Amino acid sequence: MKHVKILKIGTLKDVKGRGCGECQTSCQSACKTSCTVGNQKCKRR
Amino acid sequence: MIHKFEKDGKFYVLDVESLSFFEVDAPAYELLEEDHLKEPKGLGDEYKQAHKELKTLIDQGLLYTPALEVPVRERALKALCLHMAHDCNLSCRYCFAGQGTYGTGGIMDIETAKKAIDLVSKTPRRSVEIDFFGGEPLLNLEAIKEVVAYCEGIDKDFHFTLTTNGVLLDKDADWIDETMDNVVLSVDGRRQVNDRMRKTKSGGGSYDVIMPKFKDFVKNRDKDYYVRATFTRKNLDFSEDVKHLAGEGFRHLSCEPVVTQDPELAIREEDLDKIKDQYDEIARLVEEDELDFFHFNIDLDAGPCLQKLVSGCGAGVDYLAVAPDGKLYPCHQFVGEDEFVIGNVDEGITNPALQELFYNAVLGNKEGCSECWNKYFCSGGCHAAAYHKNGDVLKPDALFCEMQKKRTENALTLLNFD
Repeated sequence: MKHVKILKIGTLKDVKGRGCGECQTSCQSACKTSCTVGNQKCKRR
Repeated sequence: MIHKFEKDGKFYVLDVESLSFFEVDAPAYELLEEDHLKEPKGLGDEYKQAHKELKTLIDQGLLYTPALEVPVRERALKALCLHMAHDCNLSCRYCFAGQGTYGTGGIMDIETAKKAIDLVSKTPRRSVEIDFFGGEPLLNLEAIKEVVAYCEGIDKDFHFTLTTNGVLLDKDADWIDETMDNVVLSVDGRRQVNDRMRKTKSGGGSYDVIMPKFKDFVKNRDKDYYVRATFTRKNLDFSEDVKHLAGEGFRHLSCEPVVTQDPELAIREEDLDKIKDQYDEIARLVEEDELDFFHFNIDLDAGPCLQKLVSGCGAGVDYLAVAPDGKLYPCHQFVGEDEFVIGNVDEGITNPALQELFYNAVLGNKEGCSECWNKYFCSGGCHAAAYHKNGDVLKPDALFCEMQKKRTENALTLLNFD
């Protein structure tokens, strides 16, 4: 493609088998005062 | 829905519902509206060609992807913030916890802590997280050791985090290093910035007390740590503080907006442009020095699943804070507020109506979130920030939203796509 460069094909819709709830809750990494869920890690990946 | 933005002369597009991410040229950028692709009527060949390419991506399901409805995931308590001490050996001006006391004071005894561990150990989850928090948790280090020993006898995968001001970090540093999966070290950056806010009990600066201990602690550490700074409107040039900390040898950094009602320190809307510039500057530092800056640390491959992202932070349901007197709160930022007592370590949840409020404080129920492009990065934002700003956990603090959006844009452009 000349006008568009695909940097990343998202996998957010890959929901099958996910949602196990084993990941870290979101206030536990470094912030404690603001919510940053998107930068948590998935335990299964 | 898409979100498009420009950074350093490049044009970027995020497909919000799939998190596909693109770099485009100027004609393509111009054709992309938030909710539809413009027709190139009356425009030149470049636009027509760009339109054709974008249309192909839409047909492939990579742009303007419709929202996928997933239920919030099954929720279960699996994390505790143990307030080991409502006391502190520093006296920070901006402390949201009333100089560490939360207005109550008190030290958590081991029996209370064990009851809390018993409560969370009933979880159906395999992984359990325990945060040792305060005040200053190291004022109660012996109890922390007992809690860890107690957890060793329970068949769960415990993950421990300690947040400390560092004053006592030289005592048993090896044990802390080995035991804690993550350690959050609080210092604000440049000496004068830190010492203006983070004072000793006698009113002196804390920088010279804590920095040697922090440096020594991280020197050989191979587990996680974050050096966590707070910025206020007194240091709206906080990229200089991040730079300073990086220069002192710390690689894992965080810099958070202050949570305070103090009008001299609280971030105002008029500060936003300066703050955004600071995030751009920090992005440059991160790129040059390969730093790990907490808020730029997103991973589109190994990040949270959609079920988690629609469920929000988990406070009040997956995560509870435990005060030294055994009272339970939805999270550490509500501790000491009587109307937010959600239970106690003896009886568990005693205020189901309050838990219901937090159970329903998910992305789809927060004001303005469903229509926001950044929703899958903040998941609806901090309930406490929303409540303390707008009196309602469902009404996010718009100022925090704006900061969060800027951080996300920088985080996306810092990703390595090679």
